[in-house]
Amino acid sequence: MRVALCGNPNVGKTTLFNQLTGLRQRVANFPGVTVERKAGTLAGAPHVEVVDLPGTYSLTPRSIDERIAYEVLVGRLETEPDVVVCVLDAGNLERNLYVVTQVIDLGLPVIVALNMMDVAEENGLAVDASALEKDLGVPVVPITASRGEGIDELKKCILNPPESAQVYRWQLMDAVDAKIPALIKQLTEEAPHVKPMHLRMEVLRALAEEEALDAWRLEAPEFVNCIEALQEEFAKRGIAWRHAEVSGRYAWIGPIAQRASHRVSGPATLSDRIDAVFTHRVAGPLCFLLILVCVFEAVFSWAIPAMDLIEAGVAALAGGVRSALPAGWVTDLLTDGIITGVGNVVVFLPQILLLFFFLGIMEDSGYMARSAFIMDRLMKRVGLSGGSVLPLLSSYACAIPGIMAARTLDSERDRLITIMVAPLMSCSARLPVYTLFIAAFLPTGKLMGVFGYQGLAMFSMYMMGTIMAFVAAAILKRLVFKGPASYFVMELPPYRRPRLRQLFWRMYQRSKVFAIRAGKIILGCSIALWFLASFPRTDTSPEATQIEELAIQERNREYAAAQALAPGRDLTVATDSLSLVDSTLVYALDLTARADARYTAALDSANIIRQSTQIRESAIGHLGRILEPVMQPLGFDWKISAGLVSAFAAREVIVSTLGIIYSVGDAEGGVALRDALKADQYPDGRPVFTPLVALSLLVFFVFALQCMSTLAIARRETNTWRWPMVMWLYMTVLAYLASLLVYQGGLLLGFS
Amino acid sequence: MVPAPLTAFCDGCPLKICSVHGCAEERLRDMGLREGAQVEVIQNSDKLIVRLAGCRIGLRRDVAADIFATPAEL
Ligand SMILES: Nc1nc2c(ncn2[C@@H]2O[C@H](COP(=O)(O)OP(=O)(O)OP(=O)(O)O)[C@@H](O)[C@H]2O)c(=O)[nH]1
Ligand SMILES: [Mg+2]
Repeated sequence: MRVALCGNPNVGKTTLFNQLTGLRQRVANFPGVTVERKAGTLAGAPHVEVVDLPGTYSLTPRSIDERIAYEVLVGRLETEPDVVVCVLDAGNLERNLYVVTQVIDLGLPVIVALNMMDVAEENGLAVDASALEKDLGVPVVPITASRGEGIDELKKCILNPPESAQVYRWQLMDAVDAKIPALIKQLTEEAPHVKPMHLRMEVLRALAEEEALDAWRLEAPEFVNCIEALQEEFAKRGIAWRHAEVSGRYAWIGPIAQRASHRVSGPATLSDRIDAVFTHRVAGPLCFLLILVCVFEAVFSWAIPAMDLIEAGVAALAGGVRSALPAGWVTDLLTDGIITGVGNVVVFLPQILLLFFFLGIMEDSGYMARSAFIMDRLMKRVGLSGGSVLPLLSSYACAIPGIMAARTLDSERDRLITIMVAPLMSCSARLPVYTLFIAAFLPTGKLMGVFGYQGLAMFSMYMMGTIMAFVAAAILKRLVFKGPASYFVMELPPYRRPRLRQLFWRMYQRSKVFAIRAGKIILGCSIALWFLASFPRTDTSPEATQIEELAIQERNREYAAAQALAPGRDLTVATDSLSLVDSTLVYALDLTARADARYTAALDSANIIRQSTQIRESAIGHLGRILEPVMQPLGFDWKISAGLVSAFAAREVIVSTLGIIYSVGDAEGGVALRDALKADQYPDGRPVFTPLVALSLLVFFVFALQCMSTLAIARRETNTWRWPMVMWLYMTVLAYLASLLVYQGGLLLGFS
Repeated sequence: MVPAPLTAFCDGCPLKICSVHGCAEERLRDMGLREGAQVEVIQNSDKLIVRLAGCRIGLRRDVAADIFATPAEL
């Protein structure tokens, strides 16, 4: 048996779904959270499949997510569901009932779940479920999905499903109604495959909607002719045929809603008062900007203690492993490869969790929908609508859900543009890269004592990507997807207190995703990179050998000179066992001691040269150096170039790569990656990483599309490889040019 | 009284919608902004926020200009 959950957006379908199945699908307080069909089994009744659907205002789909809901309900994706649970917001019966009447008219058994009873009660709204049940002729179960109230009754009802209710109990205006039978007959003749149950719906829709009519043009031309003739006739007679169906349905449900609930139109609610500030035309955008600055500031600074802790733990672990195991390449792989590679990325988990915490608060409180409202003005300028803001903001977490959320857009053109620019929004995988370089190369001071420079730098990285996304959207709209700006209509949900359990669950989920990523991709990359960095082995370095030989000669010479000063005396004995009166002997001993010190220093530097020769001559070194000429204009040396290549597996991997390169090339080990970056030099003594190089690299990461999964999801959502390829190409070119501009411009301006 | 576009009403007036036009008209009707609906304009600046029964709907100005309404008699 299959049960489908349907209803308006944001009425709590997914919350109910989670209660019924025990699953944890994503719930948030803005319309358009669910954009796919999700299935699970009813807890305690494994033979019942529960299907969660995207929210829809009517059964006339206007966007892709609504189409999915529609196709499941009419049985186009799979066989029709056996029962449909229509979820309603008890505080807004009339509008919510509209889609219920449409589902009833499909001839499916319907159960009404009257959700948000707690909110209705709080607002002093008495909702009479039994009156509703009697009027509609379907079972009505009052529930509060978020608290699990009424779920058992609903389950019982699902397990004893009702019969289909009587269809078309509402009255179409007579003039239109009279013409329907003839049209139905015509359609049956031309399109016999249409289910008898759906005929009336198809006719009504073709009458009211241009697009629905166009869809019949090939298959049923005569039917289309009839309708067009009829529309002309109605227009002449002054009959409002276009909204005949809407008016008819509302004429039926209006009184029903009235009887079932007594609307209180009280004074302005709390939500209205908050909105007076947050959606104000001047204060609103300012608040939005301030909130974003604070979020990124907090993400940057609050995470530091936890990050320091993890960093120390990773270093201790590496040290422990190194001392516990015998020296050899396996130990090197463990410490320099796996622990360094994975550890360097795991360090950023606290920041990512904080980012998700704040995004979660914005989503659950209802502020997300307001941000779409506020940003509409800007979006209109670039030819999009506020609706694109939600997908773009979710791309701050990850471009993949962002690209999928674009399904909620009514206009296909807007959807494509949004998909094309979503990867420019900085996702959480870029966070480690931003943090590493910002922490290494920016001062820690505070601007006006409030905002740390580092947090502000982080904010500017995010802004740079965001602004570029708008610019790219404007260009795409002008050049590729030409057309008028689309409209903007969006429901603004009431503000709700974010539910902490839900929030922490999402953060926990995120850490799991992160851990899996660290465990699979980053671990794999780290191992591969370590091998690439450690092999082929180059144990001979002529330069190092030469230094060593010179050092030995030097030492012998100085020993001989000292011996000449104190002939016949043993210069290898310790100083304090000798009489200090013999000043020549003391002087000679001093000479040999200094000779020894110089000798060890020379050996050390030979060792360092040998290590870095190893890295340079390794597979990854060769790869990096092949790319170096291309990357040199951006200020990147071969190590960064190699890191950039590895970042195509996942952006964070560059952090592992640099970590591995530096720890394989580092005789001592245990230096924080930050410090290793700062200390690195070209052979001629110039630092490899200057603030300018770091900036250039950051800019590269802001714009570059280094994510296979994004390309794959864009392929799925656009159904062609064309757009993902265009996306990759334009972003790579953009990243290269922007970095080039930053680095060369910086050099010209006299920075180094 | 002659119907006027929603953009012409001040904050807080109870209204009755007379007609809906423009490119978003079907979407608006789906969302409940249909002929005969009782609404209230609760914010009217560069965009509008309209209260409709139990919900708030944000509209771009040009969309709202295609919705005509008269003050509802109480
Ligand atoms: N107070 C209260 N809040 C609820 C209740 N049910 C759901 N919510 C909240 O309503 C919001 C929307 O819930 P969802 O389950 O995501 O709604 P949905 O219908 O799946 O939304 P879409 O997927 O966008 O169509 C969330 O913030 C929930 O926490 C309820 O019974 N009472
Ligand atoms: Mg949902």
